[in-house]
Amino acid sequence: VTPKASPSYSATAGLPFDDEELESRLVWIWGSPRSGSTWLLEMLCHPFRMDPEADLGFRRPPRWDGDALTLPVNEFQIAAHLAPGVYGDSAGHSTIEDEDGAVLPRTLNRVIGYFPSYAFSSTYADVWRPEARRLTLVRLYAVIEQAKAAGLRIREDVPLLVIKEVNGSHGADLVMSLFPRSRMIFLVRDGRDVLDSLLDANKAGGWLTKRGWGQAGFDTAAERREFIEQSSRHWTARMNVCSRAFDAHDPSRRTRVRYEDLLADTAARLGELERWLGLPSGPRRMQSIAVQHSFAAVPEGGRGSGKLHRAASPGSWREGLEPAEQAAANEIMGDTLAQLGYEK
Amino acid sequence: MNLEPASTYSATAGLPFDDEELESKLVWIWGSPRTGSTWLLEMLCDPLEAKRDEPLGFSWPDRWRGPVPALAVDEFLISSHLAPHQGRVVDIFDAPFPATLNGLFQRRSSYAFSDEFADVWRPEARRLTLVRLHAVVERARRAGLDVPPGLPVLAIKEVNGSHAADLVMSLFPRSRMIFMLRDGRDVLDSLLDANSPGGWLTRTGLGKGGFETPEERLEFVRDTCRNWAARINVCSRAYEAHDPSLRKRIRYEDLLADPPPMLAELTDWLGLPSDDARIREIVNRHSFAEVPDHRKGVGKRRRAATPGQWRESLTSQERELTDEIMGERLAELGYER
Repeated sequence: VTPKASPSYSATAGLPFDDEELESRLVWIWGSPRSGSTWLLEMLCHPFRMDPEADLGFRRPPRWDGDALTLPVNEFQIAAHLAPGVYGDSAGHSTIEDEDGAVLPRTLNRVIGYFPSYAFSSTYADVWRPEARRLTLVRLYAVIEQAKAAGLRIREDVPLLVIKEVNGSHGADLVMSLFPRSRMIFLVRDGRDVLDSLLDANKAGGWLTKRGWGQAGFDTAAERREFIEQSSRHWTARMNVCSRAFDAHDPSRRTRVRYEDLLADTAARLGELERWLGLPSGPRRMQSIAVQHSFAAVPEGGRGSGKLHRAASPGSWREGLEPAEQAAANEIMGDTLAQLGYEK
Repeated sequence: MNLEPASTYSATAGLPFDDEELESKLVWIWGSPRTGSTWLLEMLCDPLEAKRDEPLGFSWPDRWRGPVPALAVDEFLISSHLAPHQGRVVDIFDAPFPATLNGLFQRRSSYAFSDEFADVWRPEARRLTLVRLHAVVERARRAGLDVPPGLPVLAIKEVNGSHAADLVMSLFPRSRMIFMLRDGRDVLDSLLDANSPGGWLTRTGLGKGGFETPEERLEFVRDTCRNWAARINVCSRAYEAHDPSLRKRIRYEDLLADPPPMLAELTDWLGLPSDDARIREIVNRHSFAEVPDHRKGVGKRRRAATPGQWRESLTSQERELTDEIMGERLAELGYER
């Protein structure tokens, strides 16, 4: 080997930023899809609105020239890369049970982590972990650079980067362990409402179906039942992993938010979060943000059955699920629901 | 933001090796599982034997003191991390390709591996991979193996990550590519056996555990054929884009029919010792006949080493289906339909 100028290895050499400082400015939103995570992301990053087609991934209001204190990163999906599914499974869409019977996502890392020659093996964790952290930080730093290049006013210190990663929650424990200085928001919602929302999105004409990602409805009761059982297991597995990540994280850098509480008094709960994050949290600002992002503010054509914004009504699973379906969901989710403070 | 003294970004700073030199020592084996890829890996890395319960992922003979010119990396699966598979195959202009997360989200700039930020994540993904592979060399040396003072060849069996061969090879243009081909119908036949109730994949917990109905088996046949075609399409794309002097396509059937000349050609190409006596010794040691009887046969990882066995195992309906899905690709690759 021809050693280069710097013979000793460093996973943080050549970075144009302070890696620990950047890490401390990361805020991860974990939990489950269909739990109001985009709503929360947009409120924390007000006045930006998510737009997957936009160069930055979000839009700002025309002629807006305020300070960008937070930058949103919607559907970053680094977790799906760091903890992918086994070949043949979609990342995070299959489950296994550990030796204690806990339902967990069936990730490649969990299944073959003991193979030493596997890239992300536990034997080589001291090698790949610092590099996986580095890759993630470099990629996130580029968001700040791109935002600056787009003319956004960013103060000299690093803005907060709020990363919505609910669709990567199957890897929450791994990702949070790589970034102990970052902050974790564990967004929870009654899994039965999540399920009810997913059934609506996957029906014929539902928004997931329209995007080509959904089930396009269910031909038989058995098919619907299978979807209910699978979705219940996915939710349970995600919550179990997020809970593990939450328990292992620095208590001063983690917070658990219930969607139902956020919905019931948005301004107050948002104010708590913004204070925790060191962001302006005056009551008038919180009220204004809450109103602008409320369900009532969504144009009527953009909400309702089959839409991305459906009902914002906790407990609608009681009507959306048949009694037998409720029982099936409870059987799978029950213990986890109870651990998260929901009635079984 | 606090800038560090060295404010110029470098994806290769702080590496204890020459990244281009290491890259040039990588040999990727792509294609499809059940194509003799472990057999080839072990012959290239003789006297190492791929073993998943050994600290380095391979073992070597007791009291071995000879040189180890090539290290084996079995089931590295970096591809599954760089391009997570989405569990299905999609048709692009009527040709099957594996659905990956990258394909789904690449146009969304906020996605970690988006096209918009490819100049950011690609050098870092390359770096991560190189650092991880260099650690194999370091640990082999630490374990007392006589690895060349420069860098050894690193042979990486990545057939189970072939769905991302194009992405991975594009990150390592100085590396070498072996595209391992086998008749897709024999691959299918082997996978049907591995997924049977007592098959080796079933026993490892990764298999189907058999098929309850003919429809279920037919569904498996369809999926496997589409997966094979999708992988081969991606590998072909990667192969076409790679430097011709750094790529080789080999057929399992040819390697099996007369291993010494093909192995000699490969080792010579890789700069490994390729004298006749050594090649003959390696071929003999790794022949199917040398596998103990109790470790080969139906349901075992080493099953038959008999090309064309699909003709006896597949039903006529299954043969029709395989021809419908794989036929054109098989013909292009030189197999009889």
